[in-house]
Amino acid sequence: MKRLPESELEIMIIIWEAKQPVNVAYIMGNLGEQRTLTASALHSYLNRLLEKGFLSCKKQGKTSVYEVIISDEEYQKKESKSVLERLYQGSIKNFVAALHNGDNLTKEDLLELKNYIEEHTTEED
Amino acid sequence: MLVGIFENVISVSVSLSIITAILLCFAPYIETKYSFKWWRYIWLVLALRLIFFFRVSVPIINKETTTIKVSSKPIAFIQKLETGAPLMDSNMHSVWQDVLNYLKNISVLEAIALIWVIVVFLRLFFCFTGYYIFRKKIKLLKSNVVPESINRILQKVKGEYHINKDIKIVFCNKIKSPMLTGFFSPIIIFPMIEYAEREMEFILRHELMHLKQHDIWYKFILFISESIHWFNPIIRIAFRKANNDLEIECDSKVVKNQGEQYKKTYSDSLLEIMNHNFMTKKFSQSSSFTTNYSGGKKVMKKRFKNILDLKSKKNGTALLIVSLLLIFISSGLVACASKEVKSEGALQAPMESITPTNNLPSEDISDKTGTGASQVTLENQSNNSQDHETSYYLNSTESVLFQETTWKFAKAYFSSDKEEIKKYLSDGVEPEVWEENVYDKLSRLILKWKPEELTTDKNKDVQYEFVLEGQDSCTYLGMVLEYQNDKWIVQEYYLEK
Repeated sequence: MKRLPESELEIMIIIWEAKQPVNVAYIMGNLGEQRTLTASALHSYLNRLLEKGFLSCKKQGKTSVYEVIISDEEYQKKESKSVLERLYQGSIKNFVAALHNGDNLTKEDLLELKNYIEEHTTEED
Repeated sequence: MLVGIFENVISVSVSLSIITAILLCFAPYIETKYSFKWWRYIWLVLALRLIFFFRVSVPIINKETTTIKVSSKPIAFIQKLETGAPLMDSNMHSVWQDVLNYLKNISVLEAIALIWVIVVFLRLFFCFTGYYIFRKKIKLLKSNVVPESINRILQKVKGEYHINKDIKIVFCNKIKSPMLTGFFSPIIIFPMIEYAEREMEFILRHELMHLKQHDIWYKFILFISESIHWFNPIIRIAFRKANNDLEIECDSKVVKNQGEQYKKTYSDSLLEIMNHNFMTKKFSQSSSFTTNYSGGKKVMKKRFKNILDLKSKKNGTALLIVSLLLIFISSGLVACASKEVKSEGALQAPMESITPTNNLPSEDISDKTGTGASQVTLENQSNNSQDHETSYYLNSTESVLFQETTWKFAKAYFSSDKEEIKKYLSDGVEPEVWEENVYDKLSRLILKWKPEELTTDKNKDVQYEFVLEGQDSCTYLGMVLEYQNDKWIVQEYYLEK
């Protein structure tokens, strides 16, 4: 599974969030204000995603419908591990510290984290 | 002088409008047979002829006759300049007074001419400043975020079209379709839209083709021409069409010699690009000097039709030559005709003591004769060296004052204005004027003086040759003037047939 460049990732996110097969029009409509694409540009991105095995394509009448093959969880798993290894030398603490130092962790985040850790450390027992 | 220029402009404008209207009417037929390249040359020649609206004639200065025109209205102003009097402070007021007087006495034609030239300058001014501001805005755009893919395509197309100029690419989030701008250092502005690679290539091909054809300069010429002839709707329509034709021609050059599939893909891309086109008016203020993708549905349809048109068209060189000739002739002919009508400056047989002269008028003087200006005719048989002296003398302050005085005197005389005429008469001379005001009925009023009068230090004896409407022979108003106390005074005057 290859890492996706930003432009393609954004499209995948739209499709992931839909949680069902989508057509081109849907994707176009959900691109957001910041991003404008021509139909051809979108098609070339979708083709690349097809080639990379992230999507499958079916024809429904005149329109093409795209379905997810690699789920967001799968992608996150692989990508997160990769990021952690490459950037934080595999240390989760470094990762959290980086977030915290950059004021990217709110109190709520830390509490959420604490609860999660407690939940999962007690389970192991 | 302004009126003269204005008349020139009008005559060229009208004469060329006829041909232009014909061309516009036959446009649909022409376009089925001939390629769009043809239109470009026609419009270019038309625009240039409209800009250079001067008559295609050469002033002839004959040894035997030198005709010099003196317009007396701005004389006072010029005199002030000549004497080197500072135009500041107290004189500023009188200068302003002169301007106001000029405006008060302005004729209808002069007023119209003034309005025309003001509008021309306003248009040019606004457009140039708008363009200047536009360029400043562009400078602020980032150009270092150009993706590698675009650069690659750019180099490829540049190589194909043999373009060596440095082309800058910038991105701007205020426009919605790409445009080319810049007269000397071309810049392609892209909107913040992600295009597919193929679309990008088409865009670059299209814009670089514009560059190759020097279209920005072409548009500039058309713009100048249109500004001068802003009042002429036919010309405006023609140039709007010319701008549209430009895009069409560009498209056809891009897809030339390519297969049908290529043409289809190009058309699809074009359509897609235009779909995103909602230009904010503010930024594209000076769209005179940019190439762009707007134009409306009708134009777009035409563009597609042309791209996909499989028939090859003739270049139409023969037709082109014929049309160009027509343009030259039609504008030239009219100019000649109006010259003849207005030319009253032909030198006729004058007083007996002077050798008759040739009938060749100087082309550049004769056409503006009205009763408001006096013409000075100098019959001079002597050699060339004297011409310089006479010309020098005639333009000197003293002579200018002399000419002004004689003219004002004559005007007062023919206007039956006793009070006015007294100002120029020596004491003891009985002021007699024409019984009624016939000034406006003069069809001819020319000041004549013998060569020796120029150089004499004594009193000057000159004559106004005049013809009243309805008469066919000349009469003469003779005057003898003496220079006293920095003024010219009429010592005696008489009528003579």
